[in-house]
Amino acid sequence: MEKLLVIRHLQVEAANAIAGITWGFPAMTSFLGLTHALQRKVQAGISNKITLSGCAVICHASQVQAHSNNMSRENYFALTRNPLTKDGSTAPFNEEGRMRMDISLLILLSGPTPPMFEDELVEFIKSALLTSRVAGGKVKQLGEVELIKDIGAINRESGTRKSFLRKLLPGFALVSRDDVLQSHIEESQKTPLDALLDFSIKRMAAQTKGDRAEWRTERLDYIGWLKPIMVGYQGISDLYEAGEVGHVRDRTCPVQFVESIYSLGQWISPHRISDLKHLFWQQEYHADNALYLCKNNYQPDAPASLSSETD
Amino acid sequence: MEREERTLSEKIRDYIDSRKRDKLEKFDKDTQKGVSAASTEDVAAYELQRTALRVTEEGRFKPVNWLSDAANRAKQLQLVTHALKFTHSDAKGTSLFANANKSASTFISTSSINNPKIDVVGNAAALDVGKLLLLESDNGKLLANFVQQNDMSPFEPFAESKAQLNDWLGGFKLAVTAKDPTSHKLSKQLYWPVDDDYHLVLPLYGTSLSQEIFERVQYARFSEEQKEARAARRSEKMSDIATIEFQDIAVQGFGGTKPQNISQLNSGRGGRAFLLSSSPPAWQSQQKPPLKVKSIFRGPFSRRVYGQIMGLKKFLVANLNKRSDMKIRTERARRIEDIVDQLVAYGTGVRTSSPGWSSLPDCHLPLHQKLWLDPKRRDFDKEFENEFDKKEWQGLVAADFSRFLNTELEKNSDIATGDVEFMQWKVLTAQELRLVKDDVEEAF
Repeated sequence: MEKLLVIRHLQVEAANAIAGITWGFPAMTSFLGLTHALQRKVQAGISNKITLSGCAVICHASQVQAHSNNMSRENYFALTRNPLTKDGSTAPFNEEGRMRMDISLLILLSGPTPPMFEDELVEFIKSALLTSRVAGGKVKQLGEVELIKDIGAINRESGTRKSFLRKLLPGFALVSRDDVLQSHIEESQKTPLDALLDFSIKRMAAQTKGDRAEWRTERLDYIGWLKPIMVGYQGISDLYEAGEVGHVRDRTCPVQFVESIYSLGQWISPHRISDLKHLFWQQEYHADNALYLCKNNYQPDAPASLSSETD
Repeated sequence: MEREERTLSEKIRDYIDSRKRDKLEKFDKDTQKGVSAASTEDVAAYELQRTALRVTEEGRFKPVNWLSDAANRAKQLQLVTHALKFTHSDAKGTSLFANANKSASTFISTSSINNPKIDVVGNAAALDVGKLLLLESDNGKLLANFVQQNDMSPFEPFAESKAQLNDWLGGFKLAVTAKDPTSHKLSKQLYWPVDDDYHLVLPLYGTSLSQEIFERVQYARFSEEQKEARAARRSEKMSDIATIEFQDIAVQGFGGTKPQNISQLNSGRGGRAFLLSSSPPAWQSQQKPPLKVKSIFRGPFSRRVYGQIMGLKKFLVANLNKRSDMKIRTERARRIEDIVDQLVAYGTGVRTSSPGWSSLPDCHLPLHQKLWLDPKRRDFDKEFENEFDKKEWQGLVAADFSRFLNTELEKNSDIATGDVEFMQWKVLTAQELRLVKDDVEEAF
């Protein structure tokens, strides 16, 4: 029986707002990294039979520490002043983006949790979270942490599921929409990169209207808050044996050079989903094409109103 | 194949010749000063010396000599698609030239670009070698790619022996391969769980991918084509070209005032890279309470869903004459739900305002909208609580919403509202809205 750890309103300060070529929210790798770090702490502190296998993120509020310039319509990050170098000149640095966010996390938990340990486990998780880095930021405040012992019980029936998910409002959950990207690539016959960029572009085209032209925004045939997101890493070198690469932090595990990979994500209202499982992300490794992937199995469902209509 | 390789050899020769011309011109100019400065009796000797020097200088640019020299210096720089110094400008370690990996996944990365621009990192004094290796054959294959594949055919016409060709290969190879891979304390090193163990993954910055995005943004902003299209839009004239605007772009700077220290392409980009937004909706700020309006459907909320309503309208118009099949109905319902979601989110957002805001004199909302958006006022307002408990307000808000949606859809529509088909979908949307209403009520 799978269990669910609900972490409400985790408020994070100075989290990393840049993920490769995207900005505005930390990469999913950060949250899965946090999940894994929590698992290690729980296994060391409570029981080594407990595993935390997947994580869903709901963002209630977020604010990137950036300002924009109306003339060029660009956003610039608010930067920190760093210590000077030895000779008193400004240290060279590459810009970083920071953000505040208020998020809730749902974490899949399995393993025995006898009733007598439940409170201890919850308290342990709370204190572990308060000392953890979340996407590089500090935890400022933590809402309620709750252990739900049977996901099935809230997931099976739409009434209980909806009322559970509604408690996560106002907020949006991040899911993968690689399916939308792939179909857009196919239908538009564009290169994969151009197809992805279409979701960041406002395109206006002219149509004749009388003796003048009317300019209208051309919208893509996809709905929802669709955004490019970073979804993991692709190997770009051989997988080196442990110790083969110099100056690494750990000489006991295999090493691979990688680059970030991107796909399309969607921010959805969590109470719309028909199965809690659609919200979860998991870390995967595919040896055959050297893929380190954050995987999500969201499936768009027939809308609720429609299914009632056809009854 | 034969012909194309010859052209690349030609290009190598042209490149060396152009280097030679530049160098000799500079030499002549510099030594001319010497000639004019020298005293009359020294001129002859100086001229002799100058000619001798010029011959050696010319000798350096004999392709065989120049290539040997270049192959020697190639190790001072590296041609890369992924560079380390973007992570930290003091990081020292391996940067990579990734081979186009066609077996890679369908996700967007450097391998999804057809001809990635190659970046150069390392000693700027050896940049000329970098430019040599970036010479391109007619079908877009770089000299560097030949070197990577141990194919020295473009160099063959210049080499005096097989052994020399091999020496060159060895030299140039150092510029495209990372020998003795190393990481650095300032580079990123992450653990990734694999089975019961870990892999250490070392992310490098995809400078070639960044370049592609940079070029597209620059095109959208500064290309003549786009400028003309924008001018046409401003004056409401026709144009075959659509205007493109990247939305919500952020700028990330690399290398401060010395972008060259990071990489060659970074220098060309002025040390800037563009980032695409992935932020969640309504990220700007907290929802302000809707004061000074008679209904949230006139302004505060309608602005928020303008795009979605336009999308729904376009969809309905496009499918007006089609038979309403499952696919169309699903799509229509989903679009309406999307707008309902926004309504629910708007409501929850406003309700985080300080309780009692609806009693301000500036609040002109009807009572049922006040009850919906300011429920905590019940705690200190008995009358308000009584009204709330009557539970009539949910229905009224839902009715407001459906009226709003219908009005918006009929407004400026290309079809007269009397059309039979139009009436038909209105009936259908009304049906869907009734079902959505229950949903909205539950969410309050």
